[in-house]
Amino acid sequence: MTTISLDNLPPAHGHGEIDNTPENPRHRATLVTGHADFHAVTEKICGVAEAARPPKAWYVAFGISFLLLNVLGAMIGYLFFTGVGVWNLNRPVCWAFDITNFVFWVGIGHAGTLISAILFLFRQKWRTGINRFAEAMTIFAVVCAGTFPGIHIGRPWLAYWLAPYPNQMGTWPNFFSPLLWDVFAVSTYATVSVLFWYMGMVPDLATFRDRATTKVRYYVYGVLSLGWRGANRHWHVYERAYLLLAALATPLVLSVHSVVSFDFAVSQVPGWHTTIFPPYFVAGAIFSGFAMVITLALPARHLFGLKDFITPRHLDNMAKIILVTGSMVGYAYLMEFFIAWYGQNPYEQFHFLNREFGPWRVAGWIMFSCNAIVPQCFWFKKCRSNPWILFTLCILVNVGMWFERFVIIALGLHRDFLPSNWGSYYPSYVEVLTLLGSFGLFCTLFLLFCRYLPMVAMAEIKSVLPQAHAGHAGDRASGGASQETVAAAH
Amino acid sequence: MSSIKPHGKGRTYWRSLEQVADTPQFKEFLEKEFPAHASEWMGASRRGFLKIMAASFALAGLTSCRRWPVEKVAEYAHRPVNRTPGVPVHYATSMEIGGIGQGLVATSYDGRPIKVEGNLTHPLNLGATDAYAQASVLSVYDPDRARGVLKRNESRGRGGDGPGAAPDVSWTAATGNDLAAVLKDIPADGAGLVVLSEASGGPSVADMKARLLKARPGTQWFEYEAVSNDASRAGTVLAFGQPYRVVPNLDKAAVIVSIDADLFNSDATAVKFSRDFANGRRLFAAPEAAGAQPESAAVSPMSRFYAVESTFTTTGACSDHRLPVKPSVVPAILHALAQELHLANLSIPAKVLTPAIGDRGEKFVKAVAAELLANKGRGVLVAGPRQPAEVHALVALLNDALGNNGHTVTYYADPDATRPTHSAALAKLVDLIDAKSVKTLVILGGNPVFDAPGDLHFGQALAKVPLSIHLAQHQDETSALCQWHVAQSHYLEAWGDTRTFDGTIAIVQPLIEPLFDSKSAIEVLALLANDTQTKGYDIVRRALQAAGVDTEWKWKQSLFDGVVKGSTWAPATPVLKDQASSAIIDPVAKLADAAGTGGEFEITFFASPALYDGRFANNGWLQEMPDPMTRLTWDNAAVLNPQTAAALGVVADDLVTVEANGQKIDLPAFLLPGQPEGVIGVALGYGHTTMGQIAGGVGHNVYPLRSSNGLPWAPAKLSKAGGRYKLATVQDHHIIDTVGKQAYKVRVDEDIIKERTYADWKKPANESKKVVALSLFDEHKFNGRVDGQKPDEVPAHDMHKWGMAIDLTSCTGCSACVVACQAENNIPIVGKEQVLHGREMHWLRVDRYFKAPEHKFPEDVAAAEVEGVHQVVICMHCEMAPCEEVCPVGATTHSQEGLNMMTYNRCIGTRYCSNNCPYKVRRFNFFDYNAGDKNNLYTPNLLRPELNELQKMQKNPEVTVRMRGVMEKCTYCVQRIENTRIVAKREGDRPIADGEIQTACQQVCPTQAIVFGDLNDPASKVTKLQQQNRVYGLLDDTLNTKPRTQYLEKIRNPNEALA
Repeated sequence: MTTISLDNLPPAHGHGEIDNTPENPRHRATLVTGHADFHAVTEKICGVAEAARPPKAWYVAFGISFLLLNVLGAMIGYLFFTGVGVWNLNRPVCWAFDITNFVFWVGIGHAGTLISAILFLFRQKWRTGINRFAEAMTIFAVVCAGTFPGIHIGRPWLAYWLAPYPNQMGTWPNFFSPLLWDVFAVSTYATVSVLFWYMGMVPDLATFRDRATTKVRYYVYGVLSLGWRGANRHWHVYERAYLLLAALATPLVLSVHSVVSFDFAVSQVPGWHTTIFPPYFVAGAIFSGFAMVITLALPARHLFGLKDFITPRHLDNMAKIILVTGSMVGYAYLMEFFIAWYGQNPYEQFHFLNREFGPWRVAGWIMFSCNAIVPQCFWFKKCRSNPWILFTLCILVNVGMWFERFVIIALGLHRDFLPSNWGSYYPSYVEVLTLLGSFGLFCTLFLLFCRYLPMVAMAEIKSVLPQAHAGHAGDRASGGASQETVAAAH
Repeated sequence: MSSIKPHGKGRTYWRSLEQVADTPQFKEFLEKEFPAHASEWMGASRRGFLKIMAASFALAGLTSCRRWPVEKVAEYAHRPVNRTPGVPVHYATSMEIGGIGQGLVATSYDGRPIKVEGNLTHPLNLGATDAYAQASVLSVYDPDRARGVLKRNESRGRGGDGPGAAPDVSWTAATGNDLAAVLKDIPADGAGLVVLSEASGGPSVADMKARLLKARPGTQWFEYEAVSNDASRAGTVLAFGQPYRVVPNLDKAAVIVSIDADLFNSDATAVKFSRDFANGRRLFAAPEAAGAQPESAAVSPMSRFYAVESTFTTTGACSDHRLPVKPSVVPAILHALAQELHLANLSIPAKVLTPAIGDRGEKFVKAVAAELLANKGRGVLVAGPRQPAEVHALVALLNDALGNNGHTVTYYADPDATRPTHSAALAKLVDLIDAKSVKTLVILGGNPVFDAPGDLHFGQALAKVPLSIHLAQHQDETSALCQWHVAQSHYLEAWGDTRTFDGTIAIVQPLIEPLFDSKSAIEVLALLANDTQTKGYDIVRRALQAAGVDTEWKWKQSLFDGVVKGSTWAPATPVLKDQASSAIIDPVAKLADAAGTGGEFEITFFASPALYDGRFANNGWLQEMPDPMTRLTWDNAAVLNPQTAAALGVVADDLVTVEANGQKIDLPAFLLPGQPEGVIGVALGYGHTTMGQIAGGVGHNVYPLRSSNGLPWAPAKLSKAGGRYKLATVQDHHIIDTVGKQAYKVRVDEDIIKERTYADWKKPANESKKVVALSLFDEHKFNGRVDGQKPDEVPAHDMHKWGMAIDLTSCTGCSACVVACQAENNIPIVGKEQVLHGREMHWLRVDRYFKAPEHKFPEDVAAAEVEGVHQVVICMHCEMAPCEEVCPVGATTHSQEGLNMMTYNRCIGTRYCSNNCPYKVRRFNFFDYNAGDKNNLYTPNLLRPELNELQKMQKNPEVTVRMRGVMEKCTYCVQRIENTRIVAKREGDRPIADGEIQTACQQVCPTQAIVFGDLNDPASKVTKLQQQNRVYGLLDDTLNTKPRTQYLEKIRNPNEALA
């Protein structure tokens, strides 16, 4: 296997980047640009975490995020001490921002595990550039997601009753309820994702430890790296475990959002009660997850100088996945309309008419245009490669996907069966600030991650460097392959 | 460690634990008991020992997470006779509105009245009540009630009675003695003493009035009620020469014609009217024969109901044919009807009235006339208080001419034949004050400053009276202008008596000592009259002597029954005055000439179904009870036809300026399909400036727009005022888009409200087809048996399958059930803000839908084409309940008897059950509504003031008071089921009889539209009803929820001639 020579590549669009997107059937595209060798990779990535000071923009971003995080805390405190009524939920709209945010964040959390597990199993080597922070993003998104079901209940101090713990009253949760399935699905997903992320990070943490210049770093990274020495046996066990976890996580990618979609599909609310929901939700989740990865990757690669690792090809690939999943989502939308017409259920028919022509048609159209039409732009190369266009489109996709959940949840509820129950809903300031605050939580965690943990999987990325494959050109034994290349062979 | 050897004699005491632990005996015991661990113990120090002890205690705590057996202590060493703690007692009592008494049975828990029911023996109630009576219990515990005797500080801040004029008064606490000292100055002959009383029919007040007039002959007595049937009384004076009380018997009538009457709401006699009406339209011979099969010989012909009305009311919604017109056109219709009847004994000058009444009106009149002629003696015309005396007189004349008197109309001679009408009385009082001949004015109840017609300027007059005393439950607008305020006792606190529509006397029996230092009207009168008897009890006993309650036994019997036997009046047979015909017809002809000439708009006033004339304004249950037609809470509005509003460019919630009788008021517009074009309908009783926290600032006071000129309506000017005002309606607030309107129409017409005509229903072939969904599974039998149990192994009191039937044909939408449910089940009020958010807590709601001819929306058609229909919706107790499956903690489950149960303790509040309930009957406590006052909901709990102790007293101890974050809903009054079951069990495991358990809504329903019972009992009323061919389950065909509550189709009986 050879990689094409970097020298043959044209510079991309005047950003000083190398355009590694063109396909040449004779060569594999290079995945790390900028003449990096193993040492340079280590220097570069460790440099982010070891720099005395992060870039100024980091401080600004962290300041804003931390402020929003405090807003979140204040809003939750107010909620806990007062009641769910501080949100503008009502009868019939008993869920709105709360569950919308939950599903939105869970959806965001899909890209990371998909990248790390499914792409790993499919031997998509380009994942190495983005998998680490996509996984981090997943975990932080799941943290945000997990917050909402916990705080949205009427008596949050009793949330532990959702757990099937043995107790003297002999009471168990109701295993028929999709909300309980949610508890299991999301907690399993969170556990596996954290394990996967952390385990993948161990070799890199060991690198951090080895390079530590202060006692604190030495001990903290020392503890975190779990005694990793880079021994052959370590690598062997690590690779096996990684593969197993990937195999374990892969079905979870599909199951979590399927289960989340059961919250709706299992009920009988028109617009919720739809068998298309599981695949539709999974596609939507991957769609929104990748949009979020790009949204974060674009500023991060710029800010921390990671353009050699997160290359235009990565962005291009991700944009293509967005195109595919976006088209699936668009298909699902159209299929919902078709089935509503074909199924001749008047309540369902009304729901879809109401979605596009009722009092909240704006939300309905935002959802449709952002999720079904906007991703179609990615047919065009320019949209996939120009960072500004890419960023804008990904933001639109994120907005659209938030609205999708809102439309399904709130619009489904606000006009169900009996017209006497029809109502309306608009968010209170507490709900809006809680949503913003959840972004604060997410960004705070993400920024801390960027600052203190290896943002790019060093060990893995070394495996896709041309040097790692030096031995492949000729005699496998004479390659002088390092430990890392052994690892990369897997 | 040393140990002190025990002394040789006496008992052994140890000074400390280590002392005993160190004895050889103990060590030996330890060795035997725990050979392996004895050595560990031996080294135990004092600290070590304590550590182990502490650990054992802690572990013991861990292992003992269980319910300890409850140990009961006897509360009373000597239990009072006839009193078991915690077991409610029931007393008969009575409540009076506008001089008409209702017979009630009040339930008292440990001395606290918490619920009233209708008295089964009282002729008005027969077991049911209206919403006012249901809510009256709450007023006992109203923290805003006036307390004691108060004297106003003489820094008179204000005068006048303009709307919104904020009172600026301060009060000083005084005593009854202070007041007595002031009253001493009244001249002994009563010169200059005027009493202004509420209408009161009871013998005690009449007796005290006579005594006062005897003691102080110069006293003048006036009676004022803002809402009354005075027009009817005056009408009988015009027709018969003296006043009579007119009582239509709707159950005996085959044809009922309502002339702008509001029969089923806002009327003191509404309970009787509702019941009679429903009985006359029941599809069975009698309510108790509900099990009879339809269309057998037993089926009574259904009465036909025509309604002419000037504002859309429940009466119109119940009618078979409705003619909505401007109020001034009603006399023209009546005149045309009289003309059309061509009665031999009645000559009516010919007159062409079509321009005023229109083609529709003419057709209507012709059809009604034909029906009335065909049913002579079996028809009845009823006029309401929104029409003047002249119209009532003609109605009396027509009833007489058609031979209805004595059959479908009963007359009773008015006991107080000489009194002027209420507005005339008040006008005269103002004249007297202006003439400075009033020195002392005693106002017994009522709030005339608030509810007097605007042109009288009663407030300004009152301010001029040298000494004014107001007896009232609240310090209201009238109190603010009086020098003295005396707190009035609630009827559950004081002795009294009432007379109902037919004269039957009921004793007002107190259930509780007055909570505050308050007096009843008769006690104040006793003070004024220097009477020897000053206690309410003595006054009532003395007054009732004359009514035949002369022995102790009779008194006790009357108290027990709640009514005084033999006190019912004999019906009168009034005779028309000579030449009455023309004298009666001419004034109506004159009114008919003026029909609709007053301008583009007319305003008509109706007593609020919630607040009546405003006296219940500080009652939260009634403020939050949605108006049956507009479904407004916490407000009144200018009710307009949507097309009328559209012509003015007015949309819902716009402020409009209404000008009538020279007064101007800005009101929010409410658009009601079916409201007659050009009519502004406004509910009275709102807009108090001072009365209490609940009443203050709610709605707008429209009394100033009224006039004392005898015409209940007025020509009005209507214009857009600019500005908006949010109205808290609980239904249809957001349906402005065509998509929504279309779906609304299709659903209401096809799925939700099933409706047929009587003729259609009678055809045996036309049975409604019930969709039966087959199941793959063995379904629950609900036969009371656990798996493997044989029928005879199940105790009789346990084999139930509870169900309910709601008859849409009978339901008038009066909403008494809403308040009854609230009272029974400790349902909190949430306030206007929360209602705007859609968070009202009523477990039972009365949905109101409109129907319009095919392919048209109710908003777009002529008012006359709109039909209204009401549907009571509560938890359906679905056998396949969508709510139960989705609760993650299993807080809502199904009982063996098919109740859909809610375990509040277990609920964590995910609200998924509400989302999945297709009927949306579940209610969520978004805040701690029960814990404090509704104005501080957005304040964190710790900072929120606690609920007043007084308000806590009202709660029904049988029902859990729910906390924040918990879902709640109708339980079929499970507390009543269980109580009855306990009784049945105790009485030898006997079966529970049909009708023994009544849900609160069923019990209060005047029309018996709600029937609850056991579906396992083939003979029960509910089973028979659910076997009828017109039964349907709401949304059952769509969702297969198998609701236990089934509806009986609405059957209307339209006239084919008008089709």
